[in-house]
Amino acid sequence: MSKIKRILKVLKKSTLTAKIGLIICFLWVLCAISAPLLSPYEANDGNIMERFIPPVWCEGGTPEHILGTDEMGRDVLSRLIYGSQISLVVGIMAVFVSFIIGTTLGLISGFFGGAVDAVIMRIVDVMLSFPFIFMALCLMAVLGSSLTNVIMVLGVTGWVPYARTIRAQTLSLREREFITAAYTQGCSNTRIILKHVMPNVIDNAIVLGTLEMASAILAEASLTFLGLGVPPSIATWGGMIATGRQYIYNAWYLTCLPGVVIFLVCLSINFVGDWIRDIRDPRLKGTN
Amino acid sequence: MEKILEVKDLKVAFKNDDKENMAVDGVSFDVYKGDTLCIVGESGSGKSVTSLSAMQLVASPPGRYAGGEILFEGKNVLKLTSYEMGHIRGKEIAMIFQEPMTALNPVHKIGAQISEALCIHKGMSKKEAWKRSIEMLKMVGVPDAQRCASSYPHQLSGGMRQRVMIAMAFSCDPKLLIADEPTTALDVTIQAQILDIIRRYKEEHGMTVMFITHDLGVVAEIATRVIVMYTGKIVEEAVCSELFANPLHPYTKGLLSCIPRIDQRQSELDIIKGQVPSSENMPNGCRFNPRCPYCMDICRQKAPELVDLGNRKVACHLVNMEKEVGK
Repeated sequence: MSKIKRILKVLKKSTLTAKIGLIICFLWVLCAISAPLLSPYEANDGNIMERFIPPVWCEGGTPEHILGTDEMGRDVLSRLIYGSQISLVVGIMAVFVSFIIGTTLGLISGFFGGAVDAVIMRIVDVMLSFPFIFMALCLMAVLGSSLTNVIMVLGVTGWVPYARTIRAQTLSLREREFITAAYTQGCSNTRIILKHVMPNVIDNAIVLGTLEMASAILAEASLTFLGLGVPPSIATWGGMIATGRQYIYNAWYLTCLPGVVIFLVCLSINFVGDWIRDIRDPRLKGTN
Repeated sequence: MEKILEVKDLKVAFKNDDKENMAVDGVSFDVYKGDTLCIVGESGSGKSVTSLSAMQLVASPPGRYAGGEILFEGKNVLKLTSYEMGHIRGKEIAMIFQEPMTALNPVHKIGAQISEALCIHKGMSKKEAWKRSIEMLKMVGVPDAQRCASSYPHQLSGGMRQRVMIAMAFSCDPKLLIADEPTTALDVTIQAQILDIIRRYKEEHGMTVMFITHDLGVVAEIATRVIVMYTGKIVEEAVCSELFANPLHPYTKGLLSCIPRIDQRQSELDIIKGQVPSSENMPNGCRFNPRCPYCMDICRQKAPELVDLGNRKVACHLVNMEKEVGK
């Protein structure tokens, strides 16, 4: 009970942007989880007789299709709701994979330095000198397009920022007196990395993770837009933009609406990221 | 008396660009059980490096143990693996640092930080360790120990943090405490309290203390024996009262005359002229010769040995000559 109270208290104290971000993210997750319940139609059910119906507020719109229909007569709102599942799964899983890889390598690299550091940082340089979209396209072309492959490719290509941030922070942290003090207490290297270095650097990685989550969603959308991401049989925001592009002159809403949704979700994730950083700061934590 | 720590011809080198500089250059001394040994010297004299070496904590690279050995209860700590060292650090030898502001981890609660050593060395559960850390905090005179244990370092004042550091150091009942300028960053009233806590605990638990400082007032307060270091070498070693009553080495004399006296009117403070020589242009012979008021020809040619004068040791040609003449 007290925990719920505390959470409510923290929420009450949070900034307006954090609240907006949290609300939109909550709606997004809700849509993803209960898509079959919320969406008025099946994502792939189309009626060829009802093609290109504009949204309800435009001329010719009907309340049956609030956000209109696409070139196959499929309901845009339903497809957006089903698309949120893909973006959520891709966002979370891809960030999870790259977070784990990046944080581990960054900690090892920064803490031990020397040859280990040199090797890891050269790998980072190689990754950075490769255009992301090129590498992702190559991998997707080899692996074939599927949801799991999109997640793996985004995860494996996205760990570099974590590794770099964590390494830089670990480097400066390693020289701090409290690390020496931890050694004098008899801590082993593993214990120092996990208990003394990691809690000090992990917050930034979490914030970075939320930012990267937004870019993973964008990257998935781009890959799908280019036709090498999630197969077209699954409704995704990126895929909707890709197919809607051809009809942008007479059906602007087919590209704009998914675009607006991607924009809102990514922005909210960033707001939430800032909020997480604020509440994780021990200087703020101690005050309540 | 039983020796707890023996430092034999310790040499610690630091790599700087391509050159290696000796931060500690052939230092030997013993620490006896129950003693309070003070190591005194200016910044850069190698006193901190000496004390860090006793816990094998000199960062390498750039540091390197270039020679000698440090025996703690007969074991050479410089040869121990980091795993073996983990059993000595915190349990047998504990350390207090100069800056209590930076020596505590900002993300953990005070209680958790004191608990850590207890969990590692005594195998206590987190709950037991937490209870014990509250007792430790009470012992070092923290008011409202319960609240202190569950607060974060930034919520405490400097004096409080140093008390917490001491509670951490004492938590596993160490045999040897290395205190690296623990009072330098504190104001005088807190200094006295901190010294008092260390002294009281030492008497109650038979702990040995190695105290690094440049504050001779503190030395007079707590030391039983004093070692004076200059540029990585020992220049004088004596029992505290004798050193203050009759300093032999010109550097020690200089240090003592630098202390402002409240009972004498002085228009100008005495200083030791010049700077500590940098490791690149170390003078030949006695390293103190460019700043020494009694410098002789031999001082510029030959480095003086640390000569045993019975109950004290000194490395100075002048003292040796006076002794010869006296005979």
